Amino acid sequence: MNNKEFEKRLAEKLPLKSEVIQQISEELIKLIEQSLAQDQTVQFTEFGTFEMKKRGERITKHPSTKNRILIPPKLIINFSPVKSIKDNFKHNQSDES
Amino acid sequence: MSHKITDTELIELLSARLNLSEAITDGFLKTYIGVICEGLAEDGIVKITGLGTFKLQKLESRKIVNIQTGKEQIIPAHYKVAFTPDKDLAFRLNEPFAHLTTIDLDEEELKEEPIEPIAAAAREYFDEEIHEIPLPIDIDTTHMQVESPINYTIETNKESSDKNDASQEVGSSYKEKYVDIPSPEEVKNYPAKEHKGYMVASVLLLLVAIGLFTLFYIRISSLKSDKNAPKAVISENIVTTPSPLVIDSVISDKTLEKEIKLTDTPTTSVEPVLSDKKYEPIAQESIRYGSRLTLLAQKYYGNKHFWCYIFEENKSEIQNPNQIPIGTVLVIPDPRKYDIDARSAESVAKAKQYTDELNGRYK
Repeated sequence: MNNKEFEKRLAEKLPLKSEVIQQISEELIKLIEQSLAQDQTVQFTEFGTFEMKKRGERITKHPSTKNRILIPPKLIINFSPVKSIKDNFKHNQSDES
Repeated sequence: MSHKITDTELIELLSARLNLSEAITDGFLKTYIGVICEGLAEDGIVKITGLGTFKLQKLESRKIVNIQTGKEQIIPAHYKVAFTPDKDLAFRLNEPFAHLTTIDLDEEELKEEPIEPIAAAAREYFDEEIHEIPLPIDIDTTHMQVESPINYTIETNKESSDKNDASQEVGSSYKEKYVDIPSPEEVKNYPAKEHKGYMVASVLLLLVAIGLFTLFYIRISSLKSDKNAPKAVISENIVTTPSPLVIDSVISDKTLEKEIKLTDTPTTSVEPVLSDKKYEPIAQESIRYGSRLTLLAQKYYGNKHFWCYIFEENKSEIQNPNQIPIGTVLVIPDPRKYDIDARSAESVAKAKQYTDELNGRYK
């Protein structure tokens, strides 16, 4: 499901104009981003939590030159779904290979 | 530690920002999540522009051994909900670490013998010159002053690394000579040495300084008989000074702007003297997210293979042409300087050969 289908589905289910829906979803994403930027966890009760995690620096070896390379630390967004969602999808997709 | 924002708080904030009732935003959020779940159940993937992609990921069945009991267990294959953030969003949120790049440790160790005092002396030396040039009235005296320290430093350079004391003396004798000029440490506040980039910067600075001295030495010997020599020598130096100064800016961006302004003014004033010897750079480009040297070469010279010359010109700032830190300001050299001609097959072939060499080096 891509973004277009997603927005269409939203519009079908909500008694709102599509422009309003777009506005709200943009603002929602902005809010999530701002909270994450301040290192705040964003929690949705029946969905999951978004949080920032720091991936530490590490040393790897370049496969062909054999040089050791220091990879800098990085901040990543982590999403962990709520248990009910996890269980829901655990065996839901048996038709897919 | 970090504060949690629950969806109720989010709904409040959202309604406040958009002037909508909480009932609407609450309903919106619930439907939003509901549709994501539906999409996951139907297609196994939901893409939301600006946020990211939710995807069902299959985990194959695997064996685990319980450490305490030694029992083997099989975890059956199942799916999990994976989230990949939108590229731009992830990039924006990584901003605190965005300036860091990967470092090749083995290459670093080769250059691991920087002689700090000489680098410091060199830095003072560069600074001195910049202060010196704006007084064009007594060129002869400036020449005298500029020349004598050079001979010192060249000697110490030749006598090689372990004679640190000698170069320190040079540095101190500077301060005695130009009492009214504040020492560079006072002019710019260099950050503490613990900064990793500092070491790299000083190594590069040292290399540039050595190159400069040899250049200077050759020039002095060749132009000794000529009476115009001082002028040419001084101007030569101003043009080359920007590179070490820009290296310093790796440490702090704010000083960069100041220093560029500092060096810019004298450069323009001596331009006519040099016009037949040195080509002025045609442009400056600052590296943004997604910039490529090949793209710059295509833009300015009409052929991507010429990126090697942009690299050559900015060697002192680029550690690895595949990973240039964002915000680096690169100088685009005049095409005539390197015989760049996109229509000449010979010129392209030459560039190609060089790029292949570079590619091998920085794989």
